[in-house]
Amino acid sequence: MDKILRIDMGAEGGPRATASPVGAYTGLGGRGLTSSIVSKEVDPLCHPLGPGNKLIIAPGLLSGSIAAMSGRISVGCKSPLTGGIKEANAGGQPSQMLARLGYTAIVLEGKPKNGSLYKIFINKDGVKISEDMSLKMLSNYQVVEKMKGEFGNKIACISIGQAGEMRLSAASIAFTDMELRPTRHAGRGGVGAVMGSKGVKVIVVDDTDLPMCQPKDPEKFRAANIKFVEGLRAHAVTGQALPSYGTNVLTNIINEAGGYPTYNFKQGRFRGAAKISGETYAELETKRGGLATHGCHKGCVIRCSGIYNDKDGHFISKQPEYETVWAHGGNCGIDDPDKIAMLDFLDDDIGLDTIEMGATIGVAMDGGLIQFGDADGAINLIKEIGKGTPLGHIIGSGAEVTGKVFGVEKVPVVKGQALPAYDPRAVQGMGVTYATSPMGADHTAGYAVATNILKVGGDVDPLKPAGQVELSRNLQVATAAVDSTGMCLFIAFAILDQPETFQALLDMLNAFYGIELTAEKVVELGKTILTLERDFNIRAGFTSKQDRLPLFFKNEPLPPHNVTFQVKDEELDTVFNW
Amino acid sequence: MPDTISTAAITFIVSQQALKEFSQILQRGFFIRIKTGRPLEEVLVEQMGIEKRYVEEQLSTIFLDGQPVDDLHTAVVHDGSTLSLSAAMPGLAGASMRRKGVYASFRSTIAYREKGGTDAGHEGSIEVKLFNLVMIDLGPHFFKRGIYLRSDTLAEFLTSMTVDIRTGCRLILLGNRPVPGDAVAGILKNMGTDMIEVFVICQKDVVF
Ligand code: SF4
Repeated sequence: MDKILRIDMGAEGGPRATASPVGAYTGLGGRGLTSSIVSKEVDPLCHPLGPGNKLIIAPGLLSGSIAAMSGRISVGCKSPLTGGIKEANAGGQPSQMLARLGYTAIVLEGKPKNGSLYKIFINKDGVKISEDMSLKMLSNYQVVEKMKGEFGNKIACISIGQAGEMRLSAASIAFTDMELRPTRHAGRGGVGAVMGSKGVKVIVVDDTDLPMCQPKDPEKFRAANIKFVEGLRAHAVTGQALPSYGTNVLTNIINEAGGYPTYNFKQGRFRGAAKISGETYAELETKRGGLATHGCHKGCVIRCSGIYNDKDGHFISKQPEYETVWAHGGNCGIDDPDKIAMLDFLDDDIGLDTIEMGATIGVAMDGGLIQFGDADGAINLIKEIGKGTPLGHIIGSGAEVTGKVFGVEKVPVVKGQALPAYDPRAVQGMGVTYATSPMGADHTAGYAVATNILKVGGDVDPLKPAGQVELSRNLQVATAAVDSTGMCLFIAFAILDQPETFQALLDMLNAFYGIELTAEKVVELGKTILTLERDFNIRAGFTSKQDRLPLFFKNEPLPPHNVTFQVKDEELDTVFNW
Repeated sequence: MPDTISTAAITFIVSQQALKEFSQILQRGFFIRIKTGRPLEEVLVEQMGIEKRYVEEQLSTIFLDGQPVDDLHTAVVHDGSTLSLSAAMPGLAGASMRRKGVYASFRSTIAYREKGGTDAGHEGSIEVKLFNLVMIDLGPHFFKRGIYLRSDTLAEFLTSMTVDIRTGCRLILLGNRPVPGDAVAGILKNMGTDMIEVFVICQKDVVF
């Protein structure tokens, strides 16, 4: 991985690709690389859908090697949803393949002048960009089928569906999984709309005949990887809970805690939670011949995903994640696992962020467009987006726009991006992260990483409420660092509880690059990335006023505990004081 | 627990697979009788018969009346309480629910605080919910001990299951009387909201 592939989609005479050395970006991967390029090369005041924005697709630092969990991929740009900097990441196969092809990142620049649609094919022989108008308004599953017909089964695809082509703010970018299905998505912030604005429908990657990426010190690397995997398998969360039930294991827990946003954030408990829990999905998957434990890419040892079939054994979708099940389920009053899986499939197919869509439909239900609990109505609304109707354009633009159009007061967004599946009135520390993350309301920006081991900002007393701001800061710093390795964030638990597993990760990075990375340097990296991101947002016009939750979280008590969000604005303003 | 307790008990002798399917009902909640007004640790270990080591190592997420518990010795289980048991959970929110976890301050406004009560040592009943791996691990234990469910809840659960639940039942006894698999849901429905004591036993543990 020693070159950056830049494709100028607006070049005279048609799109032009150039591979250049990594240069100033050496040593960066994943979010570290995407945010560095955006911060340095994108004018913060540019229009997100204009030629001045860039879309960066970057594998992780260890992608392409035998390192377990190393196949995540980051996508960065200026977000059309938030207007600020964005990094969204996904699993799937393309990360490993791009790394083996030697690319540290693909950067899509400029914009075609004539509204053409392109496909890009990358293999060991180079890059081929061709106009292909036959791909117009195909869904993700359709475009991948077409690419399979053209390039065979040994490829991986990065594509957009109709939502991305229509440049809707909730559009995602799809990455194919091990079965060559477009099920893994860089969902948040409308990154798919930026790809659509570049006129790129699909990037097809083929790493045939290319070897694994080789570490500088193979012996040390191998030994560290073994230790790392042992650590993941030994831990209760990464070795048992996630493989058995996936992230949806959280439904019962968050519901029991009274922090499960229900009926557009009106209450913290949903009566139908057990019907759509991870436990229920896992049982149905096993019974119907699907899979309850499955990886999203080769080399994943946690395998938090699965395959969900209908009662006749036909594929509906991959195992929906907790956030998806919540967004389309409890948040909309829907308790039918088959209908939720269908909504997940439609989001994947049309290319939409499931969190944004569930939140948007919840807002639309609040506005009286359809009733809470109307699963078929929700399915039809998503289909409207695929058809490109005016209503579909509104829904596909996300919760904030939909709230305005339907005159809804309660719109759960921060910086224009919908809140995920944890009510900040019950889990207040989460609210600190939602409010202050440069990404907008984002549950992964602070997804419990090794703060206690890293000692970011010192020890915090877990039972003192005052520690929340400090903890959120620590988490955001550490998450930014782990995001930059390109490892799946679910390694966080083994790392959090087992210092030797964290050390094994550092040893892998060091053996791969021949460097001397320490915990302190990881912390510094995290801080540097967050500083870059916040600086970009400030230059884009953001102030502390955007680091706030919607007022109703402060004013409206959440049943059953009847709590409000109590962290003061002045405290929120201290999150980034380091 | 509602006042109307049927004197009836129902016993399902089932295959191992069916026992796993039955476990699904435990996430929705069931009732047991205990001596209330006692510390949580005593209720779990001495009254419910869960091994102390399992409590310490596996039950890392516990809710009493929907509030995450940090200290098993000071939390007291009162008559009518709801107790939910879970293994360690992923995600920041999952981690913050853990007992005395690093992120416990994230949910300090909903954390369990003992309110006191006058039911020390009285006979009472509580609702119990078992989630995730705990449901699989402790399900057989509770089914063997006997749990109380509303008859209509059990009927609804049985009808929502696929046929294998009934083909997986080697024998169903209402009291001492065998009942055919396809009649059991109807009989239970007629019992309305009455509580019924339910036993589910794996056929490998029964000598016919
Ligand atoms: S743990 Fe889940 S999200 Fe992470 S790499 Fe594995 S399957 Fe993908």
